[in-house]
Amino acid sequence: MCGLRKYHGKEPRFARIWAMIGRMLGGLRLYRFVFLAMSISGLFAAELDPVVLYKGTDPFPLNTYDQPGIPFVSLSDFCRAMEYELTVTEELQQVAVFNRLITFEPHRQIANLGWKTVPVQIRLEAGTAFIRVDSMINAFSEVIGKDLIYEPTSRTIHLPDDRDLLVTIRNRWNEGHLRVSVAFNKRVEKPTLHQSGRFLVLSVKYPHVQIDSTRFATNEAVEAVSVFGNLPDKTSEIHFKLGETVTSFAAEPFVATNSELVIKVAGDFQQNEEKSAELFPDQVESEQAGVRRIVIDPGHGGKDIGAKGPTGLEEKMTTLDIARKLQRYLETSGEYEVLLTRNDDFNLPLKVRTGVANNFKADLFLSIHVNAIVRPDAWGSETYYLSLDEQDDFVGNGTVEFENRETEADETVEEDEFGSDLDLLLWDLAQSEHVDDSFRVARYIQEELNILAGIRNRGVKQAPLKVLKGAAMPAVLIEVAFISNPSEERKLKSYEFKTKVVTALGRAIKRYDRDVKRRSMAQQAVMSEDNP
Amino acid sequence: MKRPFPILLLWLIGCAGNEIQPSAADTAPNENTPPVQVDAGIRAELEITAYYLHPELDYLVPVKRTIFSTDNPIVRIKQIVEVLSIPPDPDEGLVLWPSAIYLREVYMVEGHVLIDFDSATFERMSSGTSRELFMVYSLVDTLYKNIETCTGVRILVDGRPRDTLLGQVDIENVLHQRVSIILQDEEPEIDIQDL
Repeated sequence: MCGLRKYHGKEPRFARIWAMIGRMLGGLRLYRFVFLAMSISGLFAAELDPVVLYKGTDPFPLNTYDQPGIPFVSLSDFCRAMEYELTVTEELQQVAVFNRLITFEPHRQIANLGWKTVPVQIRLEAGTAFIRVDSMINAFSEVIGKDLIYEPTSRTIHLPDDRDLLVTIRNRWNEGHLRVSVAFNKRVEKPTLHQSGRFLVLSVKYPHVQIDSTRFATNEAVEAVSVFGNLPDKTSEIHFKLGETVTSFAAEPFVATNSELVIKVAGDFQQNEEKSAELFPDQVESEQAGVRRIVIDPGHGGKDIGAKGPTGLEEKMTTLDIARKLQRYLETSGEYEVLLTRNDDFNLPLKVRTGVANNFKADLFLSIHVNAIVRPDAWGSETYYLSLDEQDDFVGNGTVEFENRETEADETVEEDEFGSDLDLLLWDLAQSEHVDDSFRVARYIQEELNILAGIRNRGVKQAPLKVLKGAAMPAVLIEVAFISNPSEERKLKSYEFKTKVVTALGRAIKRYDRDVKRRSMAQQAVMSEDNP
Repeated sequence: MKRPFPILLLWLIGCAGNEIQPSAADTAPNENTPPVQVDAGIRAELEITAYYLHPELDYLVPVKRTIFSTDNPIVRIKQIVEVLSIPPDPDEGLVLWPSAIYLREVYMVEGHVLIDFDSATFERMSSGTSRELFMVYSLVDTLYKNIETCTGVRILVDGRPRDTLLGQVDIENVLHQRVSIILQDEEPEIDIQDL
């Protein structure tokens, strides 16, 4: 059944009607063969569901070029649904996504995202490009900075709405039992878990839920996962269909600050070795080194005004102003994509700020602050990068004795030696591999601030700062000047001073970018010498 | 004469009610919680080392202070916390903690000191990263220095763990001593004649 299959909204209904008529009349002798043929064609047509893109809850059917396996969807339909501009030439198909371009090159089977090239599978049919859905999801997710989700069982693509709760489900085998991790992208109340026949029902107090199960492989313990959202009581339910060999399940304590629930499913399973749910294992990316995506975090916000100057200047507004200016400065260069954790006066939990950066797959995270201290004549700038505790057992010790967290364990809960403490440890260690790069960024920032803005260099410092801990990329916190100092508060109000600060920060980022590229090239040279 | 039994019962209930101690969560009135009070009647004195901010704002500096001597570690910890809110001489250092510290409770569990502050302590505080960093570690380092059995400090606010005290410094887990932010004594100069 390979070939181009057009879908125009009403076609499946007609196909089903044809199939029904064919089935009804198929038994009549006179027209037996004719209707039998109609019936068979109708049945096949009815089996071929379209791929539907959901923007929130609005469906947009997409033409597909079906073949066994993963479907290819029409690029032009996708662009129309997403309201992206598509330009088609003989060689290329270019999509303008906001201010960025994605260029698909069918003859080379690649997509150029501007800063990197990714392999894609493209079929051309009558001038229309059909792109394998996984390639398309990856390419567009990269560019729009939001994870599109493809659900293979329902053949649907989901563009999460900002209001949606994104639930990522992963699984892995561990010593004979299956660990199912259910992670939420927002803080949620403790979900409830109960069994209903062969289903485990996880009830979440949130009406709009999107499931990302691309890292979940069905198996003999959990045969299927489905979600039922927007229930009358404003909750959603995620149903896990249990395999027949399952004997028991248990949920680990839910830590609200981690927004993750882990369910252990035990049973008489055949030996399941570590199986990853790599849905699209043939994807290999060729990334260019360097800084491409930057997340700027204006400190504080909303009710949390931060520090306050002698004449009432608030830190939250100063940091937002500097962050917006820096975003414009960097984007104008055309080399960087910049996202602010907040672009208005509202507060965000610290973990969400780094979560935004991780989700955006940022190469650099800058948290902007202004300083305040007991001496009103203190002046200058400081840049911090992360230090963990001076004892190695920082987290391991830290979470065991005083279990006063929001852990309300179910009665069915049993403790796992690799429980949520490990998750906390991993969270804290997210930044540890970037400490060296974070130091470089911090040093460049201090130097540039000192040179350009004439700010006293109070040095690069290390501290266990919460906002830096979960960042999976080089991350620094900049204290631009002392708002508690009347003279520096006056400067922080001035457009000229803030422009100098922004220029200094921009130059520091570019220095760091060049530094990363230089080191990468040097490393490649060494590798090529080692492997001539 | 049949009335006295119910009256007696009511009186007993009333007495029992008076003896019920309010839970920690009930004892958190922001303004009614008195500042740290140290038990009266303790006479002998004990010299401790408390850490304040160096006048140059780059380090913590040790300052000798005096508290009442006691064998009760909880009472000693409460005194130490109170000391941190008392300004030293300006040339000795700068005080980091607010003048009124509202303590809900102090515990000691297997070497870990757990200090539960009332959030009223931190209201109206304007702080940047440096002050918060020095403030948290002036407490931790002072406790390490003066409580021999201290192997970690956990800070709670209103009975619950918090990510940070004032917005920046991580206090979610047990904190350990940070000697790197204490001003170290300069190396004594070596007299060549001694060699």
